[in-house]
Amino acid sequence: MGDVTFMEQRSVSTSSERRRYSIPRVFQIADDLTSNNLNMCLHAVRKRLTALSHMNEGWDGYGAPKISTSTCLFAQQIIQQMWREGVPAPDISPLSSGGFMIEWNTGRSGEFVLEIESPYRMSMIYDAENGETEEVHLGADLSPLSRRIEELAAKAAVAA
Amino acid sequence: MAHADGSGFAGDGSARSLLPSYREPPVTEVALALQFSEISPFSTIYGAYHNEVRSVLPLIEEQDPIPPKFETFADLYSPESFSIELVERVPSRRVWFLSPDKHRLVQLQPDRIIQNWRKREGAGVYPRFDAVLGELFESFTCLKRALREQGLQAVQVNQCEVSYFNDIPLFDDESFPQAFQRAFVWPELTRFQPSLDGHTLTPEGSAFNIICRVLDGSGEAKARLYATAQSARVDHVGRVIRLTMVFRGPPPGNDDGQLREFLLLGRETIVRVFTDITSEECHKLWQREA
Repeated sequence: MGDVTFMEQRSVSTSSERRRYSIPRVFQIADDLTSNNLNMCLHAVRKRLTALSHMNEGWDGYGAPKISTSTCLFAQQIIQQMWREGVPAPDISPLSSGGFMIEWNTGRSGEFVLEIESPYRMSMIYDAENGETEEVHLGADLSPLSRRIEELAAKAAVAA
Repeated sequence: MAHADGSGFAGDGSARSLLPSYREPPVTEVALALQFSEISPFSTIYGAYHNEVRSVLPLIEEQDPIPPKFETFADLYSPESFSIELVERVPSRRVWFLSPDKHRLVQLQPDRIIQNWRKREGAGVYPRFDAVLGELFESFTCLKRALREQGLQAVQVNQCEVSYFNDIPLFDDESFPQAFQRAFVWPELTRFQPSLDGHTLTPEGSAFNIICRVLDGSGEAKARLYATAQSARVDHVGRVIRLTMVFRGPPPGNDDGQLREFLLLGRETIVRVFTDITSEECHKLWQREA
């Protein structure tokens, strides 16, 4: 994975800080891949995670740790559990901390971000109704995440 | 006093009430597992670990690795539907370290350590849960020492697992459906005999699968229990109902006390569910004491 090129800077606001991530576009799932076919989506997700798991330590040029297989498999399980027909497959990007940023984006229907640092260490970041950006820490209980996904699915269905 | 699995008390010295106990439980294997983010590089650890345990576990066998498992809880979750694997994985291996009689076993792979006690060829005296638990933490201490000596970082446990394998032998001339009727508390399920026009049904086999969330006092899910019963044939024993019970979840913390407490919760959950789903007739056969 020595040929990764960093083509985009994306920012995410949180309640406590403002973060910037370097996202290798080569790892982003194709825009036209919507999750109407679970197997096709999961294959794309697995390919992406496999590619990310092969990145060497220091992939960001600042000493980022290698992403562990456990974190890759945990991320895959979360994406698989959260798959909903009509909700586009999420974008998956590496974090310099050794985890992933997973972003569900349905255009006008909304978006939110899940950061996975390691198994059971996650933050869900989204825009609340009052316009503030909220951050919720998650462990084994994924109910807040699944509720957001259900909301996205419902909005996507209305928009369709 | 002996539990279905253990030594009469919950094992933590607290006020936890007495667990059901049996003099002759049908348990044939117990496995206690700690799963962690994989250690890399791991190839040197097998040798370093074997140096630590060679005197009691001199034998070695190689097996395919067990894939990682993560229990999570969401409204959408269907626990039976997941099989997670990456498109490509770095090849790894699982090594068994065995006692000379092969009853005692430690399994080691880059992301997991498992302590087993097993009956062999239908024989062997179960040393009870507390003994196996003590052995697990001895093994874990040896692993941590081997990691330190190799200059590798300490592991962070992300999943604990308690597994019990019970074999309930069938009586002579007893069918599997009859044995299920005798062994479990819902015999009606296998007694159905609908009237068919000129035909009859003869049940040949039975199986069931129970999945439960383990909730704490506030209703928050902490772990999951799987209980599976199926017809089986075992060497040196014959026909049995194989009742497999697995408790799995993320521990609340990473110090040995927190891991131990979580594993004890697993034991308690399994023993109480085991007692609830099996029949009084079998409890007498297994010599229930409490």
